[in-house]
Amino acid sequence: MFLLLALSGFSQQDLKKEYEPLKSKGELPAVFTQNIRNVIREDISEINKKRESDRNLRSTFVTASNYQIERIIRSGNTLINDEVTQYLNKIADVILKDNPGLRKQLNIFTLKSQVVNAYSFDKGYIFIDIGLIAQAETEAQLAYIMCHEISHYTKQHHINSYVKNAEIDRRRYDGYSTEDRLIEKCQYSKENESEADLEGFKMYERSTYNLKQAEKAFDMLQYAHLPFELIEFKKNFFEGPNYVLPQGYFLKEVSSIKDNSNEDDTKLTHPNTKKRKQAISEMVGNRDNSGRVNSVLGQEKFEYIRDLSRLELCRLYLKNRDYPNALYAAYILHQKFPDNEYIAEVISKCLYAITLYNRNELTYSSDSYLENGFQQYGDVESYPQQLYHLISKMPEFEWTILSLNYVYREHKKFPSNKTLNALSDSLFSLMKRTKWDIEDFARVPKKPQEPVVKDSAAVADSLVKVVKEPSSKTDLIASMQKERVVRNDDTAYYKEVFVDLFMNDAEFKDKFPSSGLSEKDQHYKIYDYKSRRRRLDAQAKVQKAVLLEPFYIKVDETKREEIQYVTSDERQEDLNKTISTCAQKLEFELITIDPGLLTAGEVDKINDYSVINDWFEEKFDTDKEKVKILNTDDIGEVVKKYGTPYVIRTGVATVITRTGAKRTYFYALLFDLAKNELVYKRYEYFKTKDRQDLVNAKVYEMLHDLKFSRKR
Amino acid sequence: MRKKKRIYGLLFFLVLCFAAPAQVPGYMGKRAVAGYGFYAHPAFGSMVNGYSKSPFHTQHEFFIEYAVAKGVSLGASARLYRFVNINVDEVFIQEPGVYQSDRRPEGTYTIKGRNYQFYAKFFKDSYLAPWGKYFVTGITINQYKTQYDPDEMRAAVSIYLTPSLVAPTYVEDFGPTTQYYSRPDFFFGAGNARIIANKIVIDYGYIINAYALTRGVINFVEGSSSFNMTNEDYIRITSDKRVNAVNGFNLYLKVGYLF
Repeated sequence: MFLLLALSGFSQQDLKKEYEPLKSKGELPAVFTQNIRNVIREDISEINKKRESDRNLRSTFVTASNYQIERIIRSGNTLINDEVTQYLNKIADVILKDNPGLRKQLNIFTLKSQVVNAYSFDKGYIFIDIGLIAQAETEAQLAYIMCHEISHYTKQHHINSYVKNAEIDRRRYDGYSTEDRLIEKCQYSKENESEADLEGFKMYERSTYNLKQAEKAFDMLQYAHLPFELIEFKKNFFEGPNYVLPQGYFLKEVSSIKDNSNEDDTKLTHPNTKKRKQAISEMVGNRDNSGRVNSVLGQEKFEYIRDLSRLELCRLYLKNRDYPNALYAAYILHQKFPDNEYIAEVISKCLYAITLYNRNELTYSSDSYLENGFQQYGDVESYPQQLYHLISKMPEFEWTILSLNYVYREHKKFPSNKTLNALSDSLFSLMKRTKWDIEDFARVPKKPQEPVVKDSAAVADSLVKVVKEPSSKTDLIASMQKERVVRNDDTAYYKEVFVDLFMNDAEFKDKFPSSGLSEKDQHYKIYDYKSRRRRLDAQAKVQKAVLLEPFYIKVDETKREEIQYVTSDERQEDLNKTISTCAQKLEFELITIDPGLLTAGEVDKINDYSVINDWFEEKFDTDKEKVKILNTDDIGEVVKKYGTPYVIRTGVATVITRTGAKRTYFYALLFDLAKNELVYKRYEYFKTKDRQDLVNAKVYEMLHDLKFSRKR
Repeated sequence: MRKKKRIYGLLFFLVLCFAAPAQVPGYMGKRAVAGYGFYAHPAFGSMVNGYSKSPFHTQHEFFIEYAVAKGVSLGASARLYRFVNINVDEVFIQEPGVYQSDRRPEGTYTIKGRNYQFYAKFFKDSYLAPWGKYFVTGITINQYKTQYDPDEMRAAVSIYLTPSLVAPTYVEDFGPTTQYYSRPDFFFGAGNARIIANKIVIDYGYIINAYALTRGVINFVEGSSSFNMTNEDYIRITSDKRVNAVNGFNLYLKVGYLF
C-alpha cells in the first residue's frame, strides 16, 4: 500500500498527529509563464475568423476572461499539483476516460476558499473551492459537480451570457427598467444552469458513479451554509474534573434547520435547489443504478482528501478571522483526530481570539463579512448554535479562564509547540490585565463532599439524545430530533479550575499572576509589537525589502468594458521596470515576488506569495492597525528565507470618469512582518492621467524615503 | 563693477545649491535643470494705443535650477528683451515763443533689457523638485537701456519770429542718446514642470512682477495726461511705463535638460 502510494506520488500526511497546510508543488503551469497578450491576440483572431456579428463583444469578453483567469491562478489562492488538486484531476480522468480530447482541454485547480462553490471559465479552467470539497459526502458528488462545470465550458455559457446580457442592456432604450433587465438576465442564467445540470448528468451517467449521488449533491449544496458536519457541541468539551460549566450557558434545545429549497428564485442566477433536484430526479428516474459506486478512487482516499480540505478550511476560517466557525470546525475534527497538534492550535487560537473579541480588543473592518461582529446565536441553525450561545453568554473574565485552562493544558500536551506556548503566555498576560481577587482561585483542593444523588428522571433528562449512525450530514438533518437539556444555575464554578495545576505544575505556578490588573502588557510573543509608536527616523534605514507584485489598473468609465486590461497589463510591466531601475540607482536591494515574472520551477515563490498575502488579508480585516495575526505561522520562515522582514506593496490606479476627468492614485506601503507594523505609508492623488514622469517620480521618491528617511 | 556683482551673485547661488543635503531625491536622482525659456507678454493694449506694432512682447531666458530640498528648487536666470517704442505720448516743450501743434514726437526709440533673477520654486504636496506643480517667487534686477537717433526722434515745433511770422523747427534733444536704468523688483508665479524621457523638462506657467504690474495698473488708471513730460524726462518716463508693462505679467514656456 505504501509502495503504491509512493509510486502514485501521493505521500500522505499523518492526520492523527499533525497537519501541514496545503501548498503548491512541482512545476508551474503555462499560464504563469505565458505572454497573456499573445494568448488574447490568438483568441480574438479565432473569433474574427468565425465572422459573427457580435465579434467585438466576444473579443472584449475574451480579453476580460483571460485576465480574470490569470488573476485567479496567480493570486496565491490557487493550489497547483498538491494532493487535493491531483485528486480532482483523477476524478476528471475517470469522468472523461472515453473523451481524452475534451480532457486535454481542461485545467482543474483547487481554490483556497471557504466558499462552497465551483467555477468554470470558457477556456476550460475549472476551480473547485476547498469549502465545497469539505462539504462533499462522496466522491460521486464531487464528480457530478465537476460534470456540471465541464458542461458550462462545452456549452460556452459564459461568453454567450456576456453577449446576451449586452443585448438585454440595450433594451433600456426601449423602456425596460433596471429591474426588468435584471430579471431577464437571471432567467437566462437559470436556463444555462439548468442546461449544465442536465448535460452534466448525461456526462456523469457515462461514468460508473452512483446516479443517486447527483440528487444528493443538491441536498449537500442546499445545506452548505451549515458546517460540514453537524455534531452536538458537548458541554464537557471544555470541562475538567474541577471545572464544570454552568448549564445556564447552554441552550435547552437548539434551533431547527430551515428548509429554503423552494425559495423564490426570480432574482437569482440559479434555480432553487428543489427545482434542480427535481429535474435530476426525473433524469435518474428508473435508470438502472446497480453496479454503480460512490467512489472509484477509493473511499479511504476520498475521506483523506476531504479531511485535508476540512483541516485547510480551519486555516481559511482563521485567515478570515471567523473564529466561531473555525472553532466549531476544529471541534468536529477533534472528534476524529483528538491528538492532532494542528487542531489543538486552531482551537487555542480561536479561544484566544474570542477572548480578545469579548474584551473589545478585536474588531473587523467595514469591508469584512463580519463587520457587524460574530453572528448572533439566534440566527444560527442547529448544533453550532450551542457554541455561539456559549460565546455570547459567557462573560469575558470567565471566557479568559476557559481559554487559559484549555490552552495551557494543550501546551503541556505539546510542549515543543511554540504557538501554544506563546498563546498561553498571552492569556496569562490577559489574566494580569483583568480584575480579580486572589480568593477567586483555589490553590488547594476542597474537602471531599457527599456525592449528590440526582433524580434519575433528571439524569435521563439531562442526557442529550444523540442520533445514532447518521450516514451523512443531510441524512442527519432529515432524521434529527430536538434534545432537551436541563438548566442548572451555578456561580463561582471556576474557583477550582486550576487546583491541579497549582498543586503539580511549577511552570503554571510561576506564570500565573499573583494579582490582576497590571500595567505591563505582553501579548502574543511570536508577533511582538510595541504599544507606542517609535520615532521612525531614529531607526536603521531599510536597505532590503520584498516587493509584492505591483498593482496597476486603468479604468475608463466611458467604455463598456471599464477595466482596460491590456493597457493595465502593459503599464504594470513598465511599473516593474521602473521600480527595478530606481532600486538600482539607489542601490536598494529589492526581491520581487511577482507571479507574472516566475519561471516554471519557482513554485516556492508562489507559496511564499500566498503566505504573505494571507498575512495581509488577515491584517486588513480590521480597521485597527495592531491586529493580532493568528493564522500565518509560516511568516517567520518567509522572513528568514529572504533575509528581511520588510514587504512593499505599491501600485497605481488611474481613472477616466464619465465626465472625462482624469484621476491617478498612487500608493506605497511598507510592512514589517516580524513586528506586525506598518512602518511607511503613502497615498497620493493627482488630477491628471498616469503619465510616465508621475509614476517614475513617485516610485523613486518611495524607495528614496525607505532608504533615507522613511517618514510616514 | 557690474560684472563682479553678477559673479558674486552666481557664486552665492552655487553655494546655496551645494549646501543642500545630499539626500534630496530629485527626479530619479537628478536634481539640476538648465535650459532656455521663452516669455510672452500680451501687448494688445500697447498695440491698440499705438506704442507697438506687435501684439506680444517676447523675452528670452537662460536659466539653471537645482533641487535643494524635496519640494524646493533654487534658480538663477537672465532674461533678454528688445523692442521699439513708438512715440505716442505727448511732450511739452516749455520754452518761450515756442508753439506745438502736435505734441507727439516723431520717430521711435529702442529699449534693450536684461533681467537678472534669483528665485525659489516651492513644489506642491505630492510633487518633488524639479518635477510637478509649483509656486515660484524671487527677486529680479531689471536693467535696460534706451537709444534714440536725434535725426529720427524729434518734436515738431513752431517759433514766433514776429507776432505774425512763425518758423517751423524741431526739438531734437531728449537727453543722452543712450540712457541706462536699473530697478529691483519682486516677482511670483506658478507653473508645472513635466519630464519627458527622464531627461527633458518642459516647464510652463506665468509670473507677475509685483512693482511693475502695480505701476502699470496705476499708469493705466491715471492715463497719459497725468504725465506732462518735458523733452528731458520724456524717455525716462515713457520707457519706465513700457518696461513695467512688459515685465508686469508674462506667460512662459521653458525647455531644459535634466542632469
